[in-house]
Amino acid sequence: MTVFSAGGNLFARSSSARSPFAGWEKSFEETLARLAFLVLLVAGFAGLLLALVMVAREAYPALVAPSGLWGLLVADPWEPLSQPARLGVRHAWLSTLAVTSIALAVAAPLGFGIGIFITEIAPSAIKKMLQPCLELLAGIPSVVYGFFGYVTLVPWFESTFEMATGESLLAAGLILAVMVLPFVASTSAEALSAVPFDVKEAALALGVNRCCMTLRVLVRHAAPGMFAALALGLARALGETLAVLMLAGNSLAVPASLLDRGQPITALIITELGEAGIGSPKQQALFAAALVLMVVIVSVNSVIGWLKRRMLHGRG
Amino acid sequence: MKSFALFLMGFGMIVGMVTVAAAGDQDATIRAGGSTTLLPIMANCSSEFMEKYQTWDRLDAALPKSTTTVFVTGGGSGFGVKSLLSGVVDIGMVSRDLKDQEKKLLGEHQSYVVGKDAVAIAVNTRNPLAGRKKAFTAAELAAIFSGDIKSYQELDRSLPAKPVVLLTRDSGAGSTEIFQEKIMGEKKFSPKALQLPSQGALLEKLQTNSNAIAYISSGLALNNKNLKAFALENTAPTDDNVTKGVYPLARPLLMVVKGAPAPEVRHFVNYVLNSCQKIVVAHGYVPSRSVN
Repeated sequence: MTVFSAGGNLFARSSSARSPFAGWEKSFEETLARLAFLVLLVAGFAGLLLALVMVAREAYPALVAPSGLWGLLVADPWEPLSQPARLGVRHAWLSTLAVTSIALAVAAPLGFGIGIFITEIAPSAIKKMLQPCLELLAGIPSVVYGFFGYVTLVPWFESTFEMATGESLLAAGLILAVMVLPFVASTSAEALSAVPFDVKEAALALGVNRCCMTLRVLVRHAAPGMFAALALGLARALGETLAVLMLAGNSLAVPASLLDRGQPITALIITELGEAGIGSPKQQALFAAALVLMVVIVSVNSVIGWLKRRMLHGRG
Repeated sequence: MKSFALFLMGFGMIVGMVTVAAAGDQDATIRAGGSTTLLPIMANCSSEFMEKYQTWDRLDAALPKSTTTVFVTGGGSGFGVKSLLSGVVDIGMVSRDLKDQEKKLLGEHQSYVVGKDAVAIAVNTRNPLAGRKKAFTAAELAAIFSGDIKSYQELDRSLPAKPVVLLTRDSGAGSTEIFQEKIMGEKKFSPKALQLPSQGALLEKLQTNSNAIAYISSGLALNNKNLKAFALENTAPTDDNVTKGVYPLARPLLMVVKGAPAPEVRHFVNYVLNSCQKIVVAHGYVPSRSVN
């Protein structure tokens, strides 16, 4: 979803200059190409829609069950072995909320800072080195980050906070922040460097110093793109599974503090789905949890998209 | 996430291919399905079997000259019995004792013990309990794993006041099922317990954390010098005690056949019970007969 909105933005900018079809001759090839792209577009959207519909269909029985949405999200604990099974996911969405908040709270300022550093402050030699580094960081598989956290952060937490065992929401959130950071940093750097040069020139010509120009003109201009960076990071953080499974402790208790253990939604699904019978209430509850995750991602992206449009509109 | 999706895709393709292949020569295909505990053992064993005897007539000249095909699928023990009843599988894989109700429904049937899965209570050798305690009672274990006993001092006044870290498997795991049934009874596992996704992860965590206590496959606990395994009600979880049926925290791994087995099925069952016992051991389970 995020990639779509970010891409749409870039497209809208270039199309304001000239029609995207300006260079196309009306010919057989053109019609063919148009048709092919249309088919791809429809297939892409249909795939996305199909996934959503399938998850919703599987989740439906859990949502209309006697305990209902309230039981699923708030009232019930996750006790699949008790008779009758109680299948609430409150501990999971609270854990997801906690780790995602920690990750973004750490990654957003750092990522924006790195973005500004790359575009405005860094000499070109360092810039050339930094950008591939970020791409490399973004490409590291999540199990590596998870393992890294497991052998460094977990023992460190145990000795520093005198915890009986170091797995905690904070540990998961911090590693998640490191994973999200390259996305936030490189996307915001892109947004900052896309600000037209004349805007910068005009600001500097007015005698504004560089620091003020960067923070009050450049960042303002690039804000929609930086929002997109944040949305991209958020989507990555919400969907991350392996690292949080290894670091959050995978405990069913409702977390009360950041040093408590928890089980984010993704970890709950991967832990339980393998053994859930097809069509069983447990499977339906897990799909309902997945639906919650999807709805959250889609709505957060919509809100960010709306904010972005408002900002673009407000600037005129 | 991505790797899981890939795995699902790959799995789907394999199932699809096997189903198509199976539809080709109906008569000479063995289908086994059920318990996911037995799945890796049976999958390894069947591929070994198919590699060794490419066509059925190599096993027995009286059998047809068609390709040896054994199709193994998961689904859980309950699914194994259900599919055996409906005739979807020839061999039901069940990792627990058959219930009376199931025995009645099956009518005439054979069950073969492939091996046993035993669960041992274990701690790290640096754990305060390691030098002090030799055996637990079921009541003590239920109090520990339900979270009623929160620190080692509550268990024994002379022990340090360190918190007890509970390591468990997820609710779908076979070991959790036995532990719930035979130790916990009506009690629930403490929600504070860490749920590890596999026996391997459980072993790793138990080896590194000195406050932890766990139930773990007996094969893993006994063969590890960093771990100390406890007796339950004065019975140690040794292979000998498990095979004899004295150690209570164990369950049989069964292959169940409805009616009289067809010759192909009989050959395969024999192969599993004899040549595949080493695979049973390799997966950390107790073999049904001694392997040399």
